[in-house]
Amino acid sequence: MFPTPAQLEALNWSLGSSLLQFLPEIALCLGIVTLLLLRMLPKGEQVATGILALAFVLVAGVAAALQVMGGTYAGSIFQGMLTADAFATVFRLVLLCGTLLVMVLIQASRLSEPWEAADLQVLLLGSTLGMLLMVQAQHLLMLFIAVEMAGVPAYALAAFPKQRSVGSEAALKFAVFGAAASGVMLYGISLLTATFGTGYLPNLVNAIAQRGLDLPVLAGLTLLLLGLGFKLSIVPVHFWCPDVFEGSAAEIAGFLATASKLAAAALFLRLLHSLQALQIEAWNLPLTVGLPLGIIAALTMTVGNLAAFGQSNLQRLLAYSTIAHAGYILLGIAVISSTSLPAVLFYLVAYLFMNFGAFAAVTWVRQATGRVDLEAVRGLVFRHPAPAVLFTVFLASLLGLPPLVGFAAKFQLFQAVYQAGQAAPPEWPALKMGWWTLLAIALLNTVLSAYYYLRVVRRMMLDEPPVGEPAALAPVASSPERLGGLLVLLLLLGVLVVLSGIYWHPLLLLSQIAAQTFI
Amino acid sequence: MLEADLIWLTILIFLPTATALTLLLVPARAAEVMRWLAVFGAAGTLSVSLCVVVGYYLLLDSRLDANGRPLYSAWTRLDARADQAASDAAQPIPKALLSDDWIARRPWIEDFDIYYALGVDGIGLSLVVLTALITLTALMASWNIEQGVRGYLILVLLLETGVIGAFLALDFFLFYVFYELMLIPMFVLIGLWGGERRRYAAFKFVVYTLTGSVAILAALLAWHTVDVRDFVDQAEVQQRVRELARERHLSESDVDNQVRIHTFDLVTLSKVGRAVMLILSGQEHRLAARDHIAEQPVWNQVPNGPVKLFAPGVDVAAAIARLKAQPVCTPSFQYLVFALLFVGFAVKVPVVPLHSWLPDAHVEAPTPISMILAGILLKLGGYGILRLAVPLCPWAAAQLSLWIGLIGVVGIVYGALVAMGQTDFKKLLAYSSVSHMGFVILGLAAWSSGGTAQYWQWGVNGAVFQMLAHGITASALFFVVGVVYDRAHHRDLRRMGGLWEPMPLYCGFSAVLFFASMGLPGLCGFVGEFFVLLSAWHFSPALAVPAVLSVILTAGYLLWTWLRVFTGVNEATASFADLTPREAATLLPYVVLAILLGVLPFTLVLKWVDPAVTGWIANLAVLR
Amino acid sequence: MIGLWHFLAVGAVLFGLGLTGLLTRRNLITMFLCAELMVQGVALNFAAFGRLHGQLEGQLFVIFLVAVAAAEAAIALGLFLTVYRQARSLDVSLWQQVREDGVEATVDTEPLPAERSRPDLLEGVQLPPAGRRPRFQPEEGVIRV
Repeated sequence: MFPTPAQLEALNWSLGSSLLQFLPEIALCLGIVTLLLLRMLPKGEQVATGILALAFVLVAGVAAALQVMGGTYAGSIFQGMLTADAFATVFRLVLLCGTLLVMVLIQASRLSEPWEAADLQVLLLGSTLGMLLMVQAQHLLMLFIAVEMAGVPAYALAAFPKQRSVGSEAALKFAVFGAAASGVMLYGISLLTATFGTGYLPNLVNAIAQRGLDLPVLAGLTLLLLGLGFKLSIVPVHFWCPDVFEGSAAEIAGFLATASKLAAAALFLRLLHSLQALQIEAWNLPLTVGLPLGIIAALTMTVGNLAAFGQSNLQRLLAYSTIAHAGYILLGIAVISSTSLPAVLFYLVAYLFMNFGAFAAVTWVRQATGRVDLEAVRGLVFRHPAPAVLFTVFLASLLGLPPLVGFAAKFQLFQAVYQAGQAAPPEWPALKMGWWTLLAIALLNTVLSAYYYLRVVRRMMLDEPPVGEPAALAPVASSPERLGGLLVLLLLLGVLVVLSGIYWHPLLLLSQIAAQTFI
Repeated sequence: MLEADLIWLTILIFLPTATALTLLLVPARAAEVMRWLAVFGAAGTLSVSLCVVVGYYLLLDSRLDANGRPLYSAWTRLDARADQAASDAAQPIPKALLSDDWIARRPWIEDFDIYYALGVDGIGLSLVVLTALITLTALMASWNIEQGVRGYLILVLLLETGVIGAFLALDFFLFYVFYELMLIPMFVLIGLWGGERRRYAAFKFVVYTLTGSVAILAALLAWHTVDVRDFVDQAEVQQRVRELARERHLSESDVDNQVRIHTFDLVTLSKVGRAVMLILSGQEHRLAARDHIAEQPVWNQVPNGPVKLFAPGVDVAAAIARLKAQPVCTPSFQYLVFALLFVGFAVKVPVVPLHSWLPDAHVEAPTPISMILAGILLKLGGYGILRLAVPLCPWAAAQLSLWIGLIGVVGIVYGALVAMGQTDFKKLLAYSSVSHMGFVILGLAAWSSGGTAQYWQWGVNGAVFQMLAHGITASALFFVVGVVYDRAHHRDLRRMGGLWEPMPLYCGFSAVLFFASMGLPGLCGFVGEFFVLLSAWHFSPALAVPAVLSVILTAGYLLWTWLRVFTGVNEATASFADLTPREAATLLPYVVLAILLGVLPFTLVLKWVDPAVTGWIANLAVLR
Repeated sequence: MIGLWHFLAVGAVLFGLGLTGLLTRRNLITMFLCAELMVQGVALNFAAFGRLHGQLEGQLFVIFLVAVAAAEAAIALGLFLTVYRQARSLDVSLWQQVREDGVEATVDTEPLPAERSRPDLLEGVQLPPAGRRPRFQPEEGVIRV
């Protein structure tokens, strides 16, 4: 019953090595504790919490980057609860980059009043911690805790800043739906662990492979993926997305639209590719799981794109565009092939930059005009050419125009789907036709999406500024140097979007490193 | 070490971009400085393009062909040079890159076999020169753009980069990137500096073009999955085999069959297309491997002789088997991909059912943008069909050639008929563009082979010449409209007239351009149409007759327009000032070119276009 | 004999009740309780399965589940408090400010039962930011919460 000294010794040693892998998370935890306790100290309230939090994320990011560059990965840590493989490590780095960007954006736009800044930072750090655990989870218990840990602070984040009633409403909807979604996911987890008596993913996957897709497994997987799909905002669990994104501040919406989706997509990838890695002959994974997911993906992108047509609120429009992109991502995930994995990873990183750029641009618009509807950007280029051009760059990248990173991502993704269709075995003609039909739908969706992206561009570039509006900046906007910081961030993201669209190598390398875990 | 042609071509493409970036540094108030800077940048691009012409001419002149003629040597053809360059680079010890072969090839994104590959031949280069010239004149015609000068100039220059890059690209992916680069600049240029319904027109332009681009993207994806290992230099295949064997710890013979090579190289892909055509038309016994990297073509050889498409050292039987096992070698693939490519480019040409964006875009765009649109962008469509659609899927193109020809003729007649009914000067010219570009389609469609391939060659020569001639006359005529619009502030033909009295110089210049557009012998419009009609007659008299008759329609509406604008007495126009020096300087090159190209078509254009066309025909005409 | 299926059935019923309640009730607190009910149904599942397989993993899950549910509840109740202070009601249908363009807010076809008027307990109470001492206003005399 009780462990022997030798076991304890081994446990101790493995704990030590696990903790070393866990450095980024530890840095975040330290950050959370420091920020919370800081206010207890005399004069603690005068510390610039934003910078402090930024420093902790930076430390975590450096630790993660060093692990990626080190090139050796520990594998299972903490007795198999987590895994520190290449996939997780790369995702950790990317997620920390995303958080870093969000924090810089919040610094630049001064989202929070000074006295609540620490709360905001703590929630952000906490949510990020959850996401980091999400991409590393190797046990269903860990998965659940990680998802909740990423989700629960996010509910509160949606309410920032506290004075806005739409923020409260967004948070309300997010929390209630989120609780329900986590309930659904839990039910799926309970069915899976129950059927096989284990929550340890590798064992579970092996057991599924031996047992096949019968009712409890299918129900468990479906409910689990549905719960995760809520985070990724795929049809039919996408409805929270527009309301939450519209209600919350643009910075927070940017965080939810990028980092949160990334982590959920990573979980999808890990689950499906662990299954695929077993090469189960009996049930053709692309046909039984991939194609249905692909159909959901096609639905998701079509719904997102069509619903975005009539939107007049920029954040709501971007929310629907986010749903559409979740569709593209899910299509790549559904392919489950060795070419699709790096393609999806590339897409996710590219998506992080361009979508976050778009939300950052909306933040700029809000700071400059006090509004985030389509009318707010009317004739923007005549008054403020630089942000208007940068916003256009982000939108064009989301649309997938070369030579921007969005095109590189879309090209690879579509290429993977096409190859999946071509590589489909001849005895499954439905698979071949299925992938090609889905590809055609995705291509058509690209054309559809042009309409609403260009509608924003048109409002900014082609329509004259409203007559009689003062050229000076309007209400919320404060001193010009606040906007200056935002503009620098926008410029940085814009350069990133253009450069990584021309020179794919760094992102390719990153996605290939991550993909090697499963290939 | 960079070779000279890489440097020249890169400068040619990116000089406009560099100028655009420099414009960002000019202080906002100095609009005049910006205009001059942009004009200098465009003039620099034109000079560089002329330097490249000289270089290309020297290349052509440096070898004699089998008959002892200069310019026509098979070694100087684009695909021979491209093959040689690719092969040199693929050797285990890469050979020195040639500086004078006008092929530049550098890996860009190696994981996806994407190359920054540029190549010069007569077809592309003539259009590059045209582009540089029209952009320069369009910038000169932009002096009255007062609002947002900086943005306007930057967008025009970016557009020029995209177009020149597309004309020079030898890599499908690179072509697509440059091709798409034009979308947003054009959208903003039409939508921001255009007329009353400019936003509608800009949207329509984008939706049409983007639909076409997505079709091309689908074709791009399809072609990239084709295995081309028997068409590229075998040294590269060996290299891949070795790498794969090392990776998987297997012997080289085991992995030999697993090596796949994908490429976006247009020259290689068109070889695949030709091989597929032979297989699909039941002539696979003619397929053979080349003896040398750059082979003398089988032009003028025995009919039904071997067609040497595979790389030297390839086992032909195995290669054919491999090719047949691929989906590329099925009629459905060929039809589908050809349809995708053709529709994608037909939108740009525009071909008749897909043309309705053009009149709107032309009417709403400001004068210089109309010049660029008519003079350059439409040519990209024709160029795409010539360089991509037909060579990549020759089998489908041959099967459908009658239909394509029919589409061309419908465009010719429909455009002319609708143009007759227009009262808006610009709309009339837009429809005349539809009509004139129909000749390009007709010329390309006139498949003929064997001893009569000469007719098709005339057709293609005519098509290329027609693109150049239309580029010159259409841009010039749009400028002519712009001049009168600046003075009258309307484009209604019914309210014009009597311009010859106050504006004699303008009237004279316009007359030349109108007659050139009409196809009067001795002016540039005649040559292209004549060649095309000649080949069309041989291809199918049923198509040629309406096309010939439409020349009468063309003459009719153009003459009528000229009469309505210039003759008579009109109080309203009596006080108009004649051309300013700047306007005259803009129009003069067009007038001179319209005359010179009509009088000396061979010396000025065909001399270096025809060798390229000969190569193009030699590749395709032997297949049937 | 009470076997596994009985537990599973009760768990499923709890889960279903929770889901139904979440979708049909309008009071925020009730809605959230329903969400918790879903979680408790799952907890029953876990406990039963842990017993079935004779291992502690199931129980472990339940403990974490309860803890996480508590955290969720803390956040949610905090939110509800904010919301209540703004709208003076827990009726979820009052929160329709964020919705699709051109879609009217849903209106009740039959009126709600009139709420009993009651003294506003939260008048004047400000939630302090986390980690700071609340400021007392001595002149008010009483601190009501």
